[in-house]
Amino acid sequence: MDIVIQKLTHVYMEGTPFEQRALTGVDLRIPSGSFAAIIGATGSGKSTLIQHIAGLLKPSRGWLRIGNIEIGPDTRDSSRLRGKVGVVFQYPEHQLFEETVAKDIAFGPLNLGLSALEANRRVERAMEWVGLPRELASRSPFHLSGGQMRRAAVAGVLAMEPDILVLDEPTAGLDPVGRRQLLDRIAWLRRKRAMTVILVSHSMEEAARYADRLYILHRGRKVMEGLPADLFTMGDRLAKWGLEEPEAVRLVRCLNERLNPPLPESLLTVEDLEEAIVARWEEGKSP
Amino acid sequence: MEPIIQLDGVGFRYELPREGKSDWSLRGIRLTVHRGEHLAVMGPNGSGKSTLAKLLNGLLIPSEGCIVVDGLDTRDGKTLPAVRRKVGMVFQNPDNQIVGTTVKDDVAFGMENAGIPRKEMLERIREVLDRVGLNGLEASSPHHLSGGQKQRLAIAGVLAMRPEVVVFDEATSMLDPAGRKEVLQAMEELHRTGTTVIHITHSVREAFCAERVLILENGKIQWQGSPRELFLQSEEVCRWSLEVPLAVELKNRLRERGLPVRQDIVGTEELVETIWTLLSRN
Repeated sequence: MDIVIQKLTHVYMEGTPFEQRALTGVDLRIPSGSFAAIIGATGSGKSTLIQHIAGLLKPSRGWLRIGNIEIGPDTRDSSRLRGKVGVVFQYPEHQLFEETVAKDIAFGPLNLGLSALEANRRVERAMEWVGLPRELASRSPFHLSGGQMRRAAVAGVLAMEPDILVLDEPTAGLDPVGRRQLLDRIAWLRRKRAMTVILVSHSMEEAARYADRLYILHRGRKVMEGLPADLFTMGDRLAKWGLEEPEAVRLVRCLNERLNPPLPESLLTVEDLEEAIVARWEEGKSP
Repeated sequence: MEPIIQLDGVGFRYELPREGKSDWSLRGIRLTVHRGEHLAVMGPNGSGKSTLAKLLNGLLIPSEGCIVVDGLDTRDGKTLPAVRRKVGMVFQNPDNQIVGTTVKDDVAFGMENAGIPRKEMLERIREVLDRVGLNGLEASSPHHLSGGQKQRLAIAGVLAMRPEVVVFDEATSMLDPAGRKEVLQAMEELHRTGTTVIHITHSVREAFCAERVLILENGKIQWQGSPRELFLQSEEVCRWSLEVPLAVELKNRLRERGLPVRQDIVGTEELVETIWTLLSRN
């Protein structure tokens, strides 16, 4: 299910004194099955963009097409997207409300009109996907730890088995282990279910580690799109858009100021760096 | 150094409406925070960090033991307003901390409650907006500010109350890189001018700016020392579920692969120097 966006402009409260332009002429395409990361400073339009993909906002001008569903300024009913696109909003645990974890996760599937039996099956599966132990199903979601609450909330979205999963800052406030576990699970599930994942994040490290396509927004415009290895090595231009290089890229740059021949610039994670340095070291040892 | 906050045998458990008392969130905490110190508090989710923060200014009262802030015991209800003026808090979500319709009104809120005369209020507003670099935006609506500006506004509101101590409870975790930098600079500026800064954070890069780091796990203080000492013990760091700086992680990985890299490297420059020497010697 490809996502195609053409000349998308969104103006909040158009024609009033509070008018505010959030997106201007955005063109982009996210191929089916991608792990896409959307990055940009606060106020760059990231949230407005994903709300369009989720069918929660309509374009003021331009259009978007998700699979065979097209949405433009005159579209009456964008609810057809709801079962296909799942959105995990910021701090999704604030939206937990049911008496038990199982009931909370079942809320979405039951709303889609599935039988209690099928909903139940999906609850079990979604809990397994996010790595929540079965015995937590009958617990109150409010007595889970912070990391477990986050996973329960994500399970509630996954239980609807969306083709496209949108995650808005899914790891904010989690500790490093919790962060890594959650995104590893999502990456694994994306391959297993051939799902498209769209990650909105302020963490360049996360975007570098998980995404295979990167989209940079700046003041409501898409300024760049491409492979993480190409975009994260642009140096000063990133700073101009309020972004920074991943730590690994910075370290490679420092090394390459002295090293001849230089290391490849496309090393984005600590694992990449380790391999490249060890390889060079071994090479030097055996002439 | 003179103590500003002292915790003696502090324990805390929450009262749950249906299930009675919860397990201990914190237990046996003994800690002295010195006047003018920059202290970072780290630990995994659920380790008791935020509970500790709320105990420091009397938003929570210890279930056992006591906390003395600049000579005032937080268990004494009469002194609570004074304790809260001495210890200001900046929370995680900038949008939850804004009450005013303009930047100026927002800063004034705390002072109005404290009955500070108008003339002095205007002076303090000018002074604190200057300190956090928001001068010129007095009449703007807070909702049109960036995340970093909103957090600086929250800091200005706290500073207007002339606190001795400012506690930042994961105050940078919702900001973009530029916003994070703004808040860290404001924090550094506070420390430089003598305010005690307590910074609760998951970010090792941020904790590196502090003079002392304290690790909480399972409601207990597991370790304290300088940031540098902390990252020499990378095994423990992993156990506490902290993130180590990239340079430290890379150093450990290279050592494991048998490269002759010194154990005591913690900074990027040192590591770059070492790797460069290694790879050019061959």
